[in-house]
Amino acid sequence: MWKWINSFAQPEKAYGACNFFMPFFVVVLLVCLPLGTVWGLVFAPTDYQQFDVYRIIYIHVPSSSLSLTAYMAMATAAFVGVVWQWRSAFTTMLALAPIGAVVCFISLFTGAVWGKPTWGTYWIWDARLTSQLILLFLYLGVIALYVSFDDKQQGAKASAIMAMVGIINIPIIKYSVEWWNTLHQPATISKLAKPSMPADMAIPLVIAMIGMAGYIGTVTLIRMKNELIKRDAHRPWVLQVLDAEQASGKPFIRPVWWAVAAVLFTIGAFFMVQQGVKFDSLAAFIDMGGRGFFVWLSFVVSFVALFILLVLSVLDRKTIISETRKQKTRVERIMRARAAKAAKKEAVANSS
Amino acid sequence: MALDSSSNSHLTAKIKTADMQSRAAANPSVLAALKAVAKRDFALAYRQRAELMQPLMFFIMVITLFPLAMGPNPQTLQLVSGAVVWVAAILSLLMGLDRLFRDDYANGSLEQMIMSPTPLYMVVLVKVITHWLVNIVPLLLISPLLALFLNMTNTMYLTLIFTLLLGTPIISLVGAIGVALTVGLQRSGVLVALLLIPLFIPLLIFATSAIEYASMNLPIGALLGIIGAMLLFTLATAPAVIAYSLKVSQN
Amino acid sequence: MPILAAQQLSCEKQDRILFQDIDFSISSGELVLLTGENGAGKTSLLRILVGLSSPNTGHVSINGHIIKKDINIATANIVYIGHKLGLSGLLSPVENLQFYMDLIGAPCHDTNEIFDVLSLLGLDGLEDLPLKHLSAGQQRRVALAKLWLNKSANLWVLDEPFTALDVATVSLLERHIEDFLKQGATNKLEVSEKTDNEETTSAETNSAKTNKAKTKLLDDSSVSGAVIMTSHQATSIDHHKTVFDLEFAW
Repeated sequence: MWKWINSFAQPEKAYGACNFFMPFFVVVLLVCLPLGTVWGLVFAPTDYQQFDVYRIIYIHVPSSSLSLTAYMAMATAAFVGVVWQWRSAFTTMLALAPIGAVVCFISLFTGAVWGKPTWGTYWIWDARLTSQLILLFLYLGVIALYVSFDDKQQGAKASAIMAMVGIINIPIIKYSVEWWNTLHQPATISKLAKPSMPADMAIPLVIAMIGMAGYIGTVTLIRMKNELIKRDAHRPWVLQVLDAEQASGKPFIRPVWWAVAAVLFTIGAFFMVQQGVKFDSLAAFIDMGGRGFFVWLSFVVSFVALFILLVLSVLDRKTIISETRKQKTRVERIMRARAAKAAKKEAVANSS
Repeated sequence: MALDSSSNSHLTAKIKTADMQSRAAANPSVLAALKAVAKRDFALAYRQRAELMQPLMFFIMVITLFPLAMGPNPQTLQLVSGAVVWVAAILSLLMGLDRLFRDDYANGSLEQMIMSPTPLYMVVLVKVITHWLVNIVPLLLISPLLALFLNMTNTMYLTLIFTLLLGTPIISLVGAIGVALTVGLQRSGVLVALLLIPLFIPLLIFATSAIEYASMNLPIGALLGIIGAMLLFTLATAPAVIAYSLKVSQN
Repeated sequence: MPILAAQQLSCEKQDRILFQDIDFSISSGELVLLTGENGAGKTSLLRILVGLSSPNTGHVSINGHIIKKDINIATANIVYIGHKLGLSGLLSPVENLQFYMDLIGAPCHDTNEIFDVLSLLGLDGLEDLPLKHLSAGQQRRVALAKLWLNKSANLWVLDEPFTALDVATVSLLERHIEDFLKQGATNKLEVSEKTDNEETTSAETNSAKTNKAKTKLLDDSSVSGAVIMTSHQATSIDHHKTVFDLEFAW
């Protein structure tokens, strides 16, 4: 079994594994993210303290927790890459870094926007937001380090070390920031001051979190595939796989999965609708109890950011594929030139 | 198959390393080599002593900026004194860390150290210690003057010294990791600072809190204890990471 | 047993395969000349063989120790002189070489030894100046002094060793390489020094000294060394050369 597991160190096998897991994450993304968001915005009960502006929680909390989980996943991939020298592990790490950074940014942005109506200010140095900010710096550090290396394999190793140093520091940072916060702000206001959330509020939150995890998984797999092709552009398996994909004309994922997603969404939507719409009219919905600006700003900016990341990742793939093909023709030209030179040399040697 | 035997070999490597360490401790030539590394680093520092003044001057100037920026009110200055000195110390030490491996990397001495029979993590530890001594002693010598600039009380100043003694080795050790990773890159000074500053935030928080507590005559033992624990942990883990980072940079 | 054995080495730099499936071994008394076009990966291969880089696949073992497992023991008996000198510009040649000998675990108790080698290499009078005050060729010669001072090495790995050297030093180095290949890291200089001093002593002590010198020669010549080198210029080393040619992988 170890031999089978270790075979995924090879980029070719890892690429196949990405294709294998892609439908799963896409389905989760398509089902849970819209479901959780709509449920939270429309069908979840109104909070008695914060009224409707609390609905930002359905984008803020998933992004907060998942930005940290993504970092842990990144550091684990880094660990696997360094200790067992799995090159494919480094691609996972590098794929996760920008995604985690974007999700972390969303958490900060939505947290700040939520702060204005609740606390009167866009930024407050509470333990959570401060820890998120430092997490964003750690993400940016990993990315900045990788980008400054010419030799990308060397850069991946360096980033991996940085990621692992970061993960060891994260608990220390969290502890110290919480401690610092209690030292300087005796009256801590926590956004989730409620001891427990009622089930009808918590369920859409969980669904939204699963949905965002599906998003992260999907985009990570797309970026992984991009990186695997880029790093191994000169190897024959890449061109074989790309040609095969082009020839078979297979869509992104097989139609059966779209059907599965549609079915699951319908089932979820059924339960969702049962909760009852919490708004009297469309105008009331947009107004969100007078706080519409903040709620919509949070959701729109977040989803735009997620969408842009997805689009860029997909466009990346097209660029990388065309670059790979260009590289192949370039190599062929060089080989031909060299062969011609060698033949000329031989001809001269023979004639003299 | 190959990786199966390597997982076994990781274990044997660990046993061998422990064996090697005990051998090295008993082996006089390893100690002699480490002494030579220290001697060389001190000699080089002495011959570059003009350059070494730069981080120190930076330290003094940054601290001088604050009264100029905030106004000379002694009460305000005292309130921020611990924070200002610590931030200035972190920035100044980060500037000085660049020297740690750069010259040795550029002239190939690092290659010779990697290939020598002395384990690299020991060489690295010695280099970091000598570098720290060379950088921290001037800082400590100039500190009374700066305490005066910022109107620190005696208790605050004593606490500052304690926190600097316990905390700056952490900066040198963790900083050395960042420097080791980027030694092959050009113009990596700012990048190293960007990588490392988030990692120093806990240290900064605990050190400045200790000074604040001291100013309010509250007990600081626990805080110094936390910094001490961080130092021990870093001392145990950083040298190996630094050595590995140097090898990655050599590739 | 070969001094160095490498199996299935492959190396990638900047997403380009430099070489793959390289098997390489060298035994005592062998001289291997590594050739290939610029950029074919000669320096990369040398660095992998001495443990400064790690290969993508394969492993290297030196004197029976695999580099990955025991790098310190494996690389302890190599002298590597690459493009960089491995010396500090602010220290003098003597200080640099003293440090080198401390580093390799053979602390130098008598600096006369170092002075003698530097004198042999034509650096009289320059021994105490900071290295950066010497010319490029002179600095190169200080780096080469390691080949005379490291007496426990049985493998020399030299990347373009004749760069910036004048004709006299080139020939001196070539003869030294020949001696190393024949009889290991004996300090032939030491032996000839003793014979020089004998002229002022009495006949009996003379023969005793010569005998001692001869015994020393016999003791140290147990294992002859091996040399791997690259060189753009043709060398006139009087020893059988194995040529290892690196071609572009793609």
